[in-house]
Amino acid sequence: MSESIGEATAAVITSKVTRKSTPRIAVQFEKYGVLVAWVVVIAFFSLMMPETFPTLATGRLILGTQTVILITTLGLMLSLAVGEFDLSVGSVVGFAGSLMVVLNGVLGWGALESFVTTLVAALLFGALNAFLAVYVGVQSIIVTLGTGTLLAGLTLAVTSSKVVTGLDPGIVQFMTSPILGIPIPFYIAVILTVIAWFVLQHTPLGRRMNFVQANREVARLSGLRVQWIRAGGLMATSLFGGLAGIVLAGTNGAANPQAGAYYLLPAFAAAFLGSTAIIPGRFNAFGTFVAVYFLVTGITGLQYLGYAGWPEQIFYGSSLVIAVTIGHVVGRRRGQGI
Amino acid sequence: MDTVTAKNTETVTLSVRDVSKTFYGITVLSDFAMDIHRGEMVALIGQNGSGKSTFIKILSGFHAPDEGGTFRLGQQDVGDMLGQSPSKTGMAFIHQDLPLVPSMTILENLRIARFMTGFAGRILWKREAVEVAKILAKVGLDVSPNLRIDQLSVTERALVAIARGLSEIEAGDALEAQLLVLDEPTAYLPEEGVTRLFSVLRDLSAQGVSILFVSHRLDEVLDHCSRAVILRGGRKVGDVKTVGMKERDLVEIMLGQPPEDIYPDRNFPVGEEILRVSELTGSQVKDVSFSAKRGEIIGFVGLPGEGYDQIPYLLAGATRSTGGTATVNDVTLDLPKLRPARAIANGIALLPADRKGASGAVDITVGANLTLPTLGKFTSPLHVLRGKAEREFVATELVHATVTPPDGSARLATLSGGNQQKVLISKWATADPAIFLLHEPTQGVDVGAKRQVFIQLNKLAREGAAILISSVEYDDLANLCTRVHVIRDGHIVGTLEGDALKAHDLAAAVHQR
Repeated sequence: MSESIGEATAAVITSKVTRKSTPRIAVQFEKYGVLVAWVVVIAFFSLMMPETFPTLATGRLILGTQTVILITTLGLMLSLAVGEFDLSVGSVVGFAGSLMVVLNGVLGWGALESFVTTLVAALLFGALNAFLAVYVGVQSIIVTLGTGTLLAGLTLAVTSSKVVTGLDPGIVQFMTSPILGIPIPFYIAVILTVIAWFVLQHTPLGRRMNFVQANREVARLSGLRVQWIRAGGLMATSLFGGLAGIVLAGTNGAANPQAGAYYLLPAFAAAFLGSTAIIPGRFNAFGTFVAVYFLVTGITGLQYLGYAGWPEQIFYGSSLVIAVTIGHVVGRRRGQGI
Repeated sequence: MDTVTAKNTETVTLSVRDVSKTFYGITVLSDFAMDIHRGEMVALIGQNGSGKSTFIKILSGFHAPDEGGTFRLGQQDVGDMLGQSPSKTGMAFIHQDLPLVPSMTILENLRIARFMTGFAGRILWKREAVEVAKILAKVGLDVSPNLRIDQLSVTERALVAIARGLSEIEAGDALEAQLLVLDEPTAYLPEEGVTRLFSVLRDLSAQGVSILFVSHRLDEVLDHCSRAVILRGGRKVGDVKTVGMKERDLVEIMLGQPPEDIYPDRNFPVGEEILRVSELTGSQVKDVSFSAKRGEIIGFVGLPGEGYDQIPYLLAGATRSTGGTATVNDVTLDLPKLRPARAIANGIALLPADRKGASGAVDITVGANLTLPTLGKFTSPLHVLRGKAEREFVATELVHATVTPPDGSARLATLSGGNQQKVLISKWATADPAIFLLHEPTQGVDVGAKRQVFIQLNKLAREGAAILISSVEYDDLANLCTRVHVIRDGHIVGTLEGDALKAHDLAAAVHQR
């Protein structure tokens, strides 16, 4: 009796395992799908414009000009990785850029003081989000919708809705001087990507963040400081947003107080698209990196072809929808029969 | 027994034949058949895992039965309609976790599916109120339909749930057969609420409504049901008239022969005292005090809602206590202030019953789940994970725990329930707990994996941990534990140990009031 049950169980287990294992090729495609799409996009535009697109100048343009999106997305990814939605990150970018220029260009503070003060201000704003979302317990998506709108309004008020100028030329020069043809901030962003990757993949903190996102109750009952990890994610997002704002202001030599609104959707699109790549199903830094540059390449190519303005919205919007759809469908397929 | 005479057909409400259910090759319900007559109240009883919930879930359309079963309600074949609206099938299900929306009114809860509307889709509130008052009168409730559910007592809520079931059936025109299925309806009710509920049920059955009553409370079964259908191991082992029967007789049929030996020997001595709990109090537990020695396995048993299953969560800081202290290894913890992190730091580990919701993260790998509480062991001085050391540890541990497949990189969800449980027990066992608290550790675990779970627990006890298990698996408790405390209404009302610790006596202590 017991043996027959044992055999039946063993048979069940074996059949389950065979049924579950996805073909290797499919796994690989899932991992590198976005990377492949990026290559396809590059190939497509290169064929369309063999003279202008596949050039060093285009490469530099693509890698160099969208550093702000990359830093913002990395930041956003850190709160998504602990299960929080931060809709205020765009406002932080706009606010930080304006604050940097106001402090340095208008009030005449030193570059370092302005830089540090701006980052601290962004961090404090992140702490406010964390207080409301984690300590008080309001859903972060609602909290940050409110605080983000509030911050955008304050930015407009302080700058009288005008572009502020006067940033120290030294800062502008630092932000725009190229190494191998690509401005310095790009390399800073690459370093941040590597650090984020390292923290998420190779430290206990990253592992714990993963559990907080996947199952908060399991994390709590396993003794994790769930509240602090969630708060840390939200604060990191604002800190990265602050840095992105400073890079934006430094690159342009001025700050447009309305610039922030532009960065929210690209960051969400890239972060979700990134979560379907490299380590599918998880928000991860390299996936995010690939996703950002896939999107930027596509948009740059369309601009080369003479389509201006609308391609960005179509590209970002559809990528966000496609990414979350893939994530949902893949997740559901995985969840079957358990 | 299975042939229904022509004369009876007139009055049969529910008639099922040849109902089986197989999950992944394991038969959990085998050729089940039963009848319920018009106006009859019949109990369905059996231990956990006897197939009783499976049958209810088939009847309510949650599980599809295997091919070949027939389901008739009155003259109607409802085999293809299971799971559809009560107005079509004539069956309404009332579960212990009452599916009412607490922030909405009685009226809204009762009528949400079929509001009467007038011009421009406006709800005809006045006519609705009259209608609802009529429905409430049937269950003896005289309250305003505009009260919110969260303003009602538990008993009143149960009655509202029954009223809703009835009104849903009655929305179907001229259904001659009406069946109410009540799944543990009295679990959370106070004594006077139980009396009130049964008087309502008696009235309903006098009006011709048939009632299928699923309960662990044998006293209620004997007092109120005319017949009891008994399941064991997926088979019907009894269909008896309750007249003249005693609870002991029902327990006898429920347990039957003891199952084969899947329990490891516990021939090791117990050590010094390691845990002392004083006046533990929570929402369902009142002033419970006990102690445990190294190597002891202690059981807590009782009925749902009476506290036996809250004790592990209170002691682990997972649920907030309102009073009491626990002394672990000479460190005294103030329980109302205890949080999971602090409990773990003091050597208290908890394995909750809700495997997917609270015990393991199924979307994360087996390896990561296994090492979550012990990640510190696998870090370099700079807080970097030593991936290779972790992978090797996981691989060894999975083989030790006989997890199939022993693949640490697979997601936890890809494992069978039994293998998930082996992983999650290892998760805590490798953290070397002084106290290991478990709630229903063998729920949804097949026999083979069950034995492995017991071996893991036995080994931990042998190594000097004290193990506390809250469960209603009488056989398991009787064979694993050194002693078992019976909890009723939040208090320890009895302790069985030594020769007195038998599954039969445990069942009797729990069910006989």
